[in-house]
Amino acid sequence: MIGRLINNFNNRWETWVRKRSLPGSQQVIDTRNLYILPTAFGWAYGVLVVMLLIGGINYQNNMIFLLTFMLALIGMVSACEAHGNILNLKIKFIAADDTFAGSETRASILFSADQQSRFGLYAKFKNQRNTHLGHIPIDEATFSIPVTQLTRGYFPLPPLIISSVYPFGIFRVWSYVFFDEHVYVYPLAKETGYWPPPDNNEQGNKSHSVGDDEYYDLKSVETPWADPKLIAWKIAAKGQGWFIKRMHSHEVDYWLFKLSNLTGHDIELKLSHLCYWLQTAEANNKIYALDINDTIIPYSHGKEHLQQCLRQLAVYS
Amino acid sequence: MLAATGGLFMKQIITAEQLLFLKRHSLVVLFICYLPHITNQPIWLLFTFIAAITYRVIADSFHYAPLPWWMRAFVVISFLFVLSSIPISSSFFISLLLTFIILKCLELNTIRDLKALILSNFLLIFSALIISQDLLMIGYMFFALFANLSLMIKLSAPEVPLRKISSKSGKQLLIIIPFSLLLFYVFPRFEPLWRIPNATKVNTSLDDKLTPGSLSGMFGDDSTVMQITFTKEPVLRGYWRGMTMSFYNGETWYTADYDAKKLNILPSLSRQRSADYEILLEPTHRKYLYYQGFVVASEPHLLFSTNHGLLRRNQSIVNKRFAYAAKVSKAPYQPLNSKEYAQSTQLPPNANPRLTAWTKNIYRQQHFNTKSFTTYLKNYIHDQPFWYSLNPPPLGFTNNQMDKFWFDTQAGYCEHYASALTFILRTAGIPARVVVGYYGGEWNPFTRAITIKQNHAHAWLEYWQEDVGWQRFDPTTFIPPSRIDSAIYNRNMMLSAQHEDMTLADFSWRARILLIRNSLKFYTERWFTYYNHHTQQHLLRNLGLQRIKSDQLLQISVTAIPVFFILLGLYYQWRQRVRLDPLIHEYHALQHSFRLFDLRIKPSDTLKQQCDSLTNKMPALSSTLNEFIKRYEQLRLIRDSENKKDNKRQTILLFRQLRIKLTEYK
Repeated sequence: MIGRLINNFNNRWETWVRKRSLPGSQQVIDTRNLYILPTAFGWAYGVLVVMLLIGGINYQNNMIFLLTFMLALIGMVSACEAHGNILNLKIKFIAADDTFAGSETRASILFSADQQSRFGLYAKFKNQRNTHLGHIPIDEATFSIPVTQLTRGYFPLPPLIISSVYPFGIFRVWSYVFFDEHVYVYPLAKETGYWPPPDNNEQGNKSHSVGDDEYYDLKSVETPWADPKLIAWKIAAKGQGWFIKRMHSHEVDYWLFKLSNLTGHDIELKLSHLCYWLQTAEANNKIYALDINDTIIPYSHGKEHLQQCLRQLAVYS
Repeated sequence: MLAATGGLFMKQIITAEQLLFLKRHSLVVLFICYLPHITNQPIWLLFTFIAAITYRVIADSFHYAPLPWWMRAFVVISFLFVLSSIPISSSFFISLLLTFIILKCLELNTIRDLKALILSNFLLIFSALIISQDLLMIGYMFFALFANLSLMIKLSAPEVPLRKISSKSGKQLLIIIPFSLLLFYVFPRFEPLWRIPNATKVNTSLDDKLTPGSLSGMFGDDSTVMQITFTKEPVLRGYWRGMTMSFYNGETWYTADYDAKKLNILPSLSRQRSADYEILLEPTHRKYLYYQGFVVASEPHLLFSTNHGLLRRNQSIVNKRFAYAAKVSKAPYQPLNSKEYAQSTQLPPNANPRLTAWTKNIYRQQHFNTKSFTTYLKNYIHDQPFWYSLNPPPLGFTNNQMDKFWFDTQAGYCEHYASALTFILRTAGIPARVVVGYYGGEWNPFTRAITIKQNHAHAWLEYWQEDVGWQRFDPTTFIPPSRIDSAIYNRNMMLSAQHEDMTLADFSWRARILLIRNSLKFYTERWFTYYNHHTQQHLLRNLGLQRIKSDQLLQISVTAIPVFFILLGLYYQWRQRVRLDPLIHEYHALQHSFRLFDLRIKPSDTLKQQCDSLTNKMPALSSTLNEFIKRYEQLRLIRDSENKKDNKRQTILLFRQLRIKLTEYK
């Protein structure tokens, strides 16, 4: 019940906050999207000030009165100072590298503080790890803020939350920055245990005959059903466990990785296998193409080609 | 609420090195806050405090593991055991707080611990201020506050350099001090919300009984008893009465029992009855107040009777500083009633037979005339070898102390003379009583106040003169200087050298420094440490605001806080504006004029994009905007370090021109 209420409030809050700030790669924090509340320490500090005031009245002690008033006013000054520490901070999104599901990527963000140095700043993407930015000089500074996405896809960057409790830790000031940027999250590569057959029909390819495939070695696997053609049946029949034959060819450098070549129902697993093949092919300097459900990325190799293929895996639905 | 703001809880991340530095910083701050408690608290607490700090420093330097649970439990139980022997009082609570801090020192491991320490430090300052309100404590308060603020800044941003912290804490204090003082003077001074044990340190004070030797012991004590300011002529050599002692048991004089109902409640002062003097009395732990003359009105309402003295309305003891003002006039003559007569002629039976016989003989010789008898006594003291001494020979605990003093030792302090002469007069049947109080005081020509210290304690007597009333008789004034102890003589000489219009030139260098210090202390106490409801009313009257009541003052104080907040907000906004680059300022102004054409500008939009959007919306402006963009780009291209300033100026001018054109078009 309470969880639902909190959830409900969270959603309403985020909608409201989103309405107040337009997304863009460059943002200036203004009073519209700057929020301030006392910290737990701030509340304790408030209680202390009230206690001191009561003490001052009860002991009729003027020094305690002055101390109390000073502490109360310091609390107020602290609110203004904390607010000013983030206000007018310019934030610019520079870049965020593509990443694999479950691994961390870092978004490079440029912070510029035109008017004054900023201290004690923290930044994090919503529901992500916190980063201590520390001091931002009057000029500007670039920081890498980590983002981790557990599932593959093409995701908008979560809002960046910038916060600070500077100067006295009594108030927390924070702001949301909505970037108009996305990040590709590739499926996590998973070894298949075998290598797919090379592309026989590639035009311009060197002549290629079935007999060229050479038996290379055997690999023990638990589930051999991804490609039944490669199962070492003789060994299986002897009850020595499942082995699959690994084939090797000196001739073939062209590989077409097709989603339909992979058996099984778990599409995410199949994409992970494709990811593994793509990466291995690139690492071994092969020429490869990707075909997933008729979306074909033609033969090529190189970093950009790999990125294109992996992005295709990321957005596959 | 915080949880609802999208995982806002941001755990503070600091390195181990920063944490170590923070811990050391916090120990220094803690030590500063602890300073006044070094002398106020039991020595075992000081030693354990030092041990805890030392342990912390060593444990952090050599990366000791936290203490095992059984050791922590043992320390806590030992402290509880020791604390249980202290009776519940203010000092118990202060010891409890210090114990908590010592224990926290042992376990200072996380940021959370440091935060708890900061809050305890404020309580430490609070408790130090309860115990003492010396001039030095003001300095302590500011210094400790400054140190604690520096720790708070360092905790919220460990990367901030110490120099920046100092300037930041200093600036914050400068901003808040004027407003704090305003609140301080305006905030109404209420009565305590509930009864609390008193924690102020009390110096030795005059006892409400008098034995030979009880006052001479105070001669070396120069702690202040009271400060007196005069609205008219100052009384530089006044007898400030405290207790009137009528009952004598042969050894000790006691204040007589009195009927509280017979004490008069003095009317309050008014415009017609303005005060003659105001007294700021230090805590004495006695109920008697000091006064001079016949008090006819007071502020606040006090109880008064010539036989018993001046008391607070509830007859409570003075356990914290108390200020009162009094108006005096000539005492009206009122014959003694039988009870008063009996009280002031009471004598213990069979005491001092020699002195009794001597008195009767002399009184007879003086024809039972009070006036000639007292004159005879004055001359007798002057002529006979009576010594005014600080260290008179002991009289022993006998019923014949006065015999011994009058005929054998003939040396004594004021209480010996007062006691003996009262005995003599009573033996002669003349009503007499001992009065204990203070005589003289140090005159400060700058503050125009008399400071009375413990070493001004004095005893004299009063005797009844028919048709005239009570007459003061100070026997010590009749002792010639040659028979006065040099220390007393010097003090008396200093007193008699004082006059109302003294200047700095009348003092030695040492005395001048003391005088300046005392003046500073006087004003601080009057307008700060001992600023109270009456001083507040006085201040408001002087400002022409005599009609403001306490609840209105409270309203003003409560309103002042948001007013301060608004002013502060405006100040910060102004500061931001001042700091804003003029080019950015002009750019914002230009964007504002773009918005006049209902143009939605995203923060990420470049100037060219904004101009293009405006051109789409207002094709008529296209040539103006194109020309503007062309010139703007030219300016940007030629920007280099040499002509940066000039280039900026031209860009501002360009922005301004376009802005004016757009506004005119609109």
